Amino acid sequence: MGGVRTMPNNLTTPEPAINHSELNRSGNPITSMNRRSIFAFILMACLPAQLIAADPGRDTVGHIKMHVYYGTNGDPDAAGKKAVALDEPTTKLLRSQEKLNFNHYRKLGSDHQPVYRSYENWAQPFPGSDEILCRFEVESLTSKEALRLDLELWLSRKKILKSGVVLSTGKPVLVLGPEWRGGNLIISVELAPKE
Amino acid sequence: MNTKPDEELLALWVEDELDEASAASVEEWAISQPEWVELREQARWSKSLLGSNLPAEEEVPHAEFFNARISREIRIEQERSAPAASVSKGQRMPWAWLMPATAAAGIALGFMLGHDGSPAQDLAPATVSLSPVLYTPEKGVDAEYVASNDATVILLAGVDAIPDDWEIPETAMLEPEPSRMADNGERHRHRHGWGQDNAKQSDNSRARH
Repeated sequence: MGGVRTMPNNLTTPEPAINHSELNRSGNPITSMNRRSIFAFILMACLPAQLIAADPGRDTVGHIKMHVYYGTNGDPDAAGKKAVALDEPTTKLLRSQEKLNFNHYRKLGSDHQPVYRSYENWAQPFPGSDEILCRFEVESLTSKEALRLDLELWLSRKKILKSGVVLSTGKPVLVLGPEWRGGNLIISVELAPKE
Repeated sequence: MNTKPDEELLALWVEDELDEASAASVEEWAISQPEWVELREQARWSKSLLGSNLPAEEEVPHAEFFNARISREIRIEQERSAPAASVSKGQRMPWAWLMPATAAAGIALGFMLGHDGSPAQDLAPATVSLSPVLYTPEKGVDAEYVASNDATVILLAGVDAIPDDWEIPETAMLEPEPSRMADNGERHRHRHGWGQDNAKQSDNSRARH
């Protein structure tokens, strides 16, 4: 009886060849059909990598820098020991904006991310924390020094702001954010200059 | 010819545009067709009537003639439309019907004679609107754009304050370094919201803390 199975309609199919010298991890013999399946799986797994490498949508068209500042008219030490003072140009820029003019500023976190041609990306100034996130995606390439981005600001896992902005080198987007410890968070997103 | 000529031949015969041989053969057939003879007589009468009022040939005016006439009519129409604001609905301007026809004729002539006229004016270069488009999905939150030379300033109002007990994580980067794609293979999400994908992960992380 061994070796042949009778199927309905009198069709018979031979049992797969079994090589008792080869066993898989479960202790079951590896058949030729299984070997072909493994080969096909490996081939399929390799294909996406090649496709991804050839995807022009992953081309980088720029880089953005995201900073989170803390502005307060009270005690700047309330931001904690990890906060650092701002540099002079940034302080001057913030003070020049009427609604962002505070007595003291501190920098809390930053991130630097590439802007892909046709994929979204996220900036996370506090890795491991999703308290403040920024999602961005290119809408159009307005010029070599400017991009129109679809910019989203997420605070406490909620989408707070969605905006279509033109981001250019030297002209950041400054968002007066929520209150925190007697001051306000200021989120800055700017296009990094091309090296 | 005893059989009825074809339609084309008959039409030419009615208009007296056949040569002698063909006309004679059709005449032979038409002797027994008084209605066709009458038709030809009517055509001859109409032709004589029109010919007495219109020249046989007339030179087509040059393009500038049409343009000048159209411009003149438009000017006349504009002069009349100034005091016409007080014209009641019941009163119709005598040249009102001319406006659409004039505009259409001007467009058609301008298109056809464009190569004879002055060069087309250069179109103004497309400009990119720098004003951001803002949208706040959260109820009670408003965003205001403030124009500035040095920055694009957006003011959020109505956003919930961040709890004072929230601390800056130890992993906060104060000096950002350009990220590499390999390092961020887990970070960026294609077409899926970070918040949506990681809401559960955040809840778990908060529970641990």
